[in-house]
Amino acid sequence: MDTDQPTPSQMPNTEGGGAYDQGGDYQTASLRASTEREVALRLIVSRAIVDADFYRHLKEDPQAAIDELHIRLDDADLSRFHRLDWARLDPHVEALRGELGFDTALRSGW
Amino acid sequence: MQPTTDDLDVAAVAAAYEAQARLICAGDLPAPLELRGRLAPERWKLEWHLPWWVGRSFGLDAALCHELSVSSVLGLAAIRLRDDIADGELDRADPATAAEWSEALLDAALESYRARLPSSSEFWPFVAAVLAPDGPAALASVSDGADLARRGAPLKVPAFAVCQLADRSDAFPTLARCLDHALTALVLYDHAADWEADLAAGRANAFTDGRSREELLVALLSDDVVRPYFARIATALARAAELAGALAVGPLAQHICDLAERFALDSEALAAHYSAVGDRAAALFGTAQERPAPPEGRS
Repeated sequence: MDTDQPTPSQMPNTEGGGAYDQGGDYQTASLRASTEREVALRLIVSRAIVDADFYRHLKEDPQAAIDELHIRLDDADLSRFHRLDWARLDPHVEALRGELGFDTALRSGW
Repeated sequence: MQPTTDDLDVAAVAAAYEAQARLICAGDLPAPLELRGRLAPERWKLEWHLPWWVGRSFGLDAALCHELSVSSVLGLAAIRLRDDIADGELDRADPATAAEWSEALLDAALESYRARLPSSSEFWPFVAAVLAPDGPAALASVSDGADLARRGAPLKVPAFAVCQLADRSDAFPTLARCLDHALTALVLYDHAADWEADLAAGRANAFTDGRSREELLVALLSDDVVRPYFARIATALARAAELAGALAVGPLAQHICDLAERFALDSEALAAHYSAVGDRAAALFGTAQERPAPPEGRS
């Protein structure tokens, strides 16, 4: 994941081996890149559940919708969104939207 | 758990409150003054029990502590009514009439103290400061939030009075700090519970922390927002319990520990709920993680 203006330390360096070659610290760099990717995907999906307009936009034009969040995905991850069976997804997304309220979880009062 | 002989007789306090409120309202008990829901002892346990817990722990006799508890509930009703008038949230009551009820309830609440504390007592300037239009803000020694001050007034008056009556004025600063920490926790919890209503009404809310509804929900699904917020509540309650313990007011310390336990359960329930919804969403979109394999020959 990249933001619009990432600082060098925030960017996973994947060119020419990049961070994977620095000090043999593959696991740390891999974990960082993987975590950033997970965060990016989680943000996109969360936004799609919460925001019906964003969900429509994502359905119509995944690239443009994801750009709107200032997130850049690689081609493999972007293609996931192009391949989705949106008609199958629609009712499930609607159902998840119904579970966003706080009232069911917070009932203890005082 | 069965009440012990030294538990507050909540039913007797409720009956005494209702009798007094009916006198003030010429026989009827209007909706804003009903105990059920609005002023219920389960919801306002601190306000109902504080004079009893502190008074008994400081050696005051049971009859006096009972009377001070009735006074505390009358004061709570008066202050809640005053807040409702200010917020325009009166339930089928005329504001002018409600203001008269509020004044009369407050007057009845102070009656017990008039009989026992001379006009030269420090209690009266304290009450005047609390009841001044901008007074409650001066009461918040831990946080200066408006909610905290509003919640604090019905507690600080009886707390101050009990300390005076028990000849334990030295204990009040510690008790006041204990209440401020407890109230900080309760107000933070309130903000978590009421965030959607507060957002809709344009009220400041610590849980939303300036975020829109969408921003907060996305954060709840994609990040751990709940546990750090509830950790602040837990910290405040731990400090409150420690101070109550230092004053040897056992039931107050126990109540605060009970709150901490319940809020911790709420925190876990909320965090687990949103994490599960986020996980199901990720599975639905096919983005649930499979970590990339390391390059050949690397470990």
